[in-house]
Amino acid sequence: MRADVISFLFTLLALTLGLQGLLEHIAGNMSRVNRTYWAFVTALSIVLIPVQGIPVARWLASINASVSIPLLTMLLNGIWARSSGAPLMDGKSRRTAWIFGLTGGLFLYPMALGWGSFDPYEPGYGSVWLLLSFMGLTLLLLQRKNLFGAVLVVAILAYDLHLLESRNVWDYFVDPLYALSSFVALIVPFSKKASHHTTHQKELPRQNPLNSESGKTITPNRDFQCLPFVEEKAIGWRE
Amino acid sequence: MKSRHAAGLMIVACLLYSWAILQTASSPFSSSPAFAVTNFPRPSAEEQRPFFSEGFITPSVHGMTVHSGSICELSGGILASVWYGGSREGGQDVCVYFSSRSPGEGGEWNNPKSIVSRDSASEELNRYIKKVGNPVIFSNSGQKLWLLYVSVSLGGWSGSSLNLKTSEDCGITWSRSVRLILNPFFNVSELVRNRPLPLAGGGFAIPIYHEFLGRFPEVLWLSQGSPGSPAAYRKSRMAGGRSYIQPSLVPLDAHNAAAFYRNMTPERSVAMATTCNAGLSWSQPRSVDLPNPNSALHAILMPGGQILMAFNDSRKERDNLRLAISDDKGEDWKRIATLENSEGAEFSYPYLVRDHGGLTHLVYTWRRKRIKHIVFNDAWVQRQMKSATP
Repeated sequence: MRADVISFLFTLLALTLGLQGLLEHIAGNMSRVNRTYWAFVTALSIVLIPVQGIPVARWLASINASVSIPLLTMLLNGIWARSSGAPLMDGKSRRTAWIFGLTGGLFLYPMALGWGSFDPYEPGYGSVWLLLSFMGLTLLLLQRKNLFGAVLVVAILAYDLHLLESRNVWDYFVDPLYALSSFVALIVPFSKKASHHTTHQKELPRQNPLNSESGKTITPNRDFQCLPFVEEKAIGWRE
Repeated sequence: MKSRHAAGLMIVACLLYSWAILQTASSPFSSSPAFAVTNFPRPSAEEQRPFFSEGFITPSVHGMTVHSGSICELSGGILASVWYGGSREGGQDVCVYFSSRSPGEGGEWNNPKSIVSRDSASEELNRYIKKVGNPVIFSNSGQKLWLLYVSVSLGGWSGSSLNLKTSEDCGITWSRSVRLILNPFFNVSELVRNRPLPLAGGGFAIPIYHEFLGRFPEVLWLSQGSPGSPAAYRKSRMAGGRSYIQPSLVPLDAHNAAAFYRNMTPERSVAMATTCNAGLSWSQPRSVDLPNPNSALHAILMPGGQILMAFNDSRKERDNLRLAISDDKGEDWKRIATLENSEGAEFSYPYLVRDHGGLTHLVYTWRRKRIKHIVFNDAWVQRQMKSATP
C-alpha cells in the first residue's frame, strides 16, 4: 500500500478518536457502551463527510503530514478509559507521555522553523546518535516499568515499517498536535491547581481539603482532566 | 507492567532499534558526498565564432501569466523546460507546463502541455491542493527526468510543500506525485527554485529554501533510488535566520562550491557562502558587490573556473536583467551584458544550464507573459568580457 494512503489512514483514525472523545464528553448521561458506540459511529461519519468533494479527514491530512504514534496511543488510551472505566496507561506513564511530547516539541519546532543555525530535524533522517538516544530512553522507561516505553517501541516499529509518509524518525515520535496537547495537559491542571489553592486558602483557611471522611489522605487525579479524551469521569479521584 | 513483560519489551526494543540503525548505516547518505564534476568536450573559445540567439519557449497567450522557468538537457541533445502558468500567480487554474525541443539551432519548442494541475496533484497526493507553483526539472543520466514542484494546501507560498514526479520517456508520461516530508511543523514552507547539482555517487544536491517564520536556504539530498522504489531523501540547513533564500549552487570541484543567495534584508545585495565538504556545511553568508532587489538570481560554472551570473542589476526593481562574470570564485564581478532593460517591465527568475555541446542556455520570465530562452557560446562570453565594465 502506498505511503500516503497508510498515512491518511493514520490521520483518519486519529481524527475519529479525537472527535469520539469530544462526543463522549458531550453525551455524558448515556450508558457507557451506548455512548462509546454512538460516539464512534458519529465521529467516523463526520470525518468521512465530503466537503468540496474531499472527506474531512483528508482535509486534516492536507495540512498535517502525519500523526505521531504517541498521540495516537494517548487518544486510544483516552477512549479506552472512557468506555471501560480503566485506562490502559497508568498516571505515571501518561505523565511521561505528556512530558515527552512537550519536551520534544519545545526542542524540535523553534529550531526547525529557523531559530538558529542548527536544525534538530535533520538528524531524524538517519542519525545513529539520535536513534541511540531514543533507544536509551525507551530502555530506561521499560526498566522502570513505565508503559510509555512500550509506546516508544511501537513508534520505532512503525518507523522500521515506514508506516507514515515521512522518512524522518522525529515524525513517528512527536507531532505538533501532540506537543500542543502535552502543553495543555501539563500546564492547565497546574494553573488550575495553583488557582484553586489560592482561592481555597482565602475562603477556608482552617479546613484541610485533602482529608476524606474516612480519614485517609486523597489526592486529585492529576492526569489532565482538561482534555476531552482523557478519562475525567471514568477515574475521578483516586487514592 | 510485570518484570517479564518489561524484559521482553526491552529485547524487542533492542532488535527494532538495531534494525533502524542498520538501515541508517546502509542508506545512500551514509558516505560523504562529492559533486559530479562534468567536463563537457568543447571547442576553445578562440576557435569559435561568437554565437547568440534568443527566442521564446511559450507562445503568447492573452491573459496568461507565466513564471519560474527551468530547463535541462536530455539524451541526444534534447532540451526540456517547465514553468507554471495561469490567469495569475497563485490562481487555482495555474498548471505546471512542459515543453521540449529537438537539438539544432533552428529547433522549435513543442506546444506546451500541462503535466501538473491543482486537480491532478490533489488526486495523486491524496490531499487537498489549493495551488501549484515553482517547478524545477533535472536529469543526470539524460534519460530519467525529475520534476520537483511546489504545492500549497493552506495559506500562501509560506505554506508550500515539495512534491516529486519522474519520467522515464523524456517527459511523455509521468509517475504519480510523491510528497516530500521536509519539515516537522505541518510540513510547511519548503520551496525550490534553482538548479540541482548531480552527485558523484548518483543522486542530487538540490538547493531549496524555507520561508515561514524563518527564511533560510537548505539543501535537499536526493538519491536516485532503484527502479520501482521511491527515492530516499534528507535535507540539511545552509544558514539560519530570516535573510537569505533561493540559493544558487556552483560546484567548483568535487568538494568545493559557492552558493549565491537572494537577499531579503534591507541591504539589498547578493550574498554568498562557500563549502569545502560538498555542501555538508556552509560558511556564514556575506554580501558581494552586486545589487539584489529581493529577486531570484542564478549562477553557473564556466570553462576555466569562471562563474557566470544572471541577475537583476538593481536594488529595487526587476526591470533589467544582466550577466556578470567572476574570475575569482565570486569575490569580484564584471558586468558583461545587458539582456533586458525596460522601465516598469519585469524580467526575473533566470535559470542557467550548459549543454554537452558547450552552449549556455538561459531561460527567464519575460514581462510575466512568456518564458524567454537565450543561447550563447563561450566565444560570445569572451567577446563580451573584452568590452566589460567592472
